Amino acid sequence: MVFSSIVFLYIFLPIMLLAYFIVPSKFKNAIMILASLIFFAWGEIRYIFIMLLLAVMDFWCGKKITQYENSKNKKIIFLFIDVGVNLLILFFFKYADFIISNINSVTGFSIPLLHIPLPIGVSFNTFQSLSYIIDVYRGTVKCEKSFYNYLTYTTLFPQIIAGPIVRYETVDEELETKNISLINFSNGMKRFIIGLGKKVLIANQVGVLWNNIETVNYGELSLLLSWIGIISFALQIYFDFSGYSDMAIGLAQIFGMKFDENFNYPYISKSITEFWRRWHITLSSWFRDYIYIPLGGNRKGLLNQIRNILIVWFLTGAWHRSILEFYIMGSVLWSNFNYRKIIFAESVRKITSHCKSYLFYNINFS
Amino acid sequence: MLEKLPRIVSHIYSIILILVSWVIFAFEDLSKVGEYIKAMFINNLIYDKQSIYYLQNYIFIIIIGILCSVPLWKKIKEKMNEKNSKTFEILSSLGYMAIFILSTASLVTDSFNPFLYFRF
Repeated sequence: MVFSSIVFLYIFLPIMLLAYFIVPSKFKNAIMILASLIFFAWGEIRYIFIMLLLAVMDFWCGKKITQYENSKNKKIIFLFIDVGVNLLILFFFKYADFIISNINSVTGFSIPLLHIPLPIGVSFNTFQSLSYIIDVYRGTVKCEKSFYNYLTYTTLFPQIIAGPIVRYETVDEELETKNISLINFSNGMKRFIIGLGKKVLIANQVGVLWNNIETVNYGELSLLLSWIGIISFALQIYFDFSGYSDMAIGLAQIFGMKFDENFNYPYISKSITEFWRRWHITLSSWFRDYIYIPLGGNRKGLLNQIRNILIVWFLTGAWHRSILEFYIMGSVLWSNFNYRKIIFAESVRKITSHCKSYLFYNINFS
Repeated sequence: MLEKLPRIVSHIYSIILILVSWVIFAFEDLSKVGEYIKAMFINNLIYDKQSIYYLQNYIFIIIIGILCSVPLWKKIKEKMNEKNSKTFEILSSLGYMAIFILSTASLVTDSFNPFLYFRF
């Protein structure tokens, strides 16, 4: 199910809200879980069972890690199990066919493709599970004691489709006690309506324009039309994505929970670096906190830093299967350089800007 | 003025880079990417009937889109909240209702409501 549909707006949401607000506090999570499962099952019945099994595993591993708090050797086993299984499932759905087709083209075999459509939400679900288990392992959050609460966290329907990526630490207290109030309800509603308008009244409309221009044959595409086209695409992708985030954040607020912001007016940026800090914020900060910094970030010398940047580039690119994010992500990490700590700050800056333009040139004209 | 100029320049420069990046993102086929970028920068055909037609039909929504991409509404809201204006409260509530009604109408009549996230 998607937010911008009549079924969601006029049937699902009203019934859910009614149920949510009349039941006593301790049953509110039950309503959330039930609603999430229905929302999810609407299009993706297959993945539900995997999602539930993963939730059981995350929860169990979290408890085990806490139990072996003082034994690094033991607790790391459970971290590996949980991270490994989560990643394996994501990889299977995302890359099985990609890998098979590559094997075929290299070896000349013709292994049949699996044609498994990517279940909606599998990526976001993985990000959430990993943030939970890694934080428990590091000791920055306490493990969840109630499976009922953990299941609420992992199924949480507002974010399941398109984020924002909600970390366990962001909502752990609200899983227990919701912050329900009239002001949150009304602000949440407003936020949701803004998001709906962004998606339906702007993104969908300029989307039609882009669909028309995209198919114009090269040679008939005038300069003016090409600019109208790409501007309409830029508007479509921004209003679609940020509209969905607004709707998710608004819904969460209605239910008495606070999600992190995902967009901050990206098109007013004065550099590409700034753009990526304002675009899909929860993803870039996830990569920063769970990959880049644990690898040593910029603290272990320039060579290590470059290695870390390349790893994050690769992962981000692989996740999106696109060059754009790969490129932008790289720039933002370069920007995280603490210039003053590096002796030859100026020369480093020159090298980075050179690399950036070189990379960009390569992508555009290869 | 001297201080202002580089900011505008860097803003325009970034916007162009972002738009070019979107071309890369929009097409899976790299040769199409090249063709499109070429059409944006090296093109004898500056404008034609088709482009004027689309411009006339969509300029309104594009301008709305651009205005909504900058923190204009946010600033108005902050200003009005400071003044504690009741008229603004009422007007903006009507505005939210209008957006909701228009969105519903659009969902009922338009068939174009794509789902962009299956790739992620």
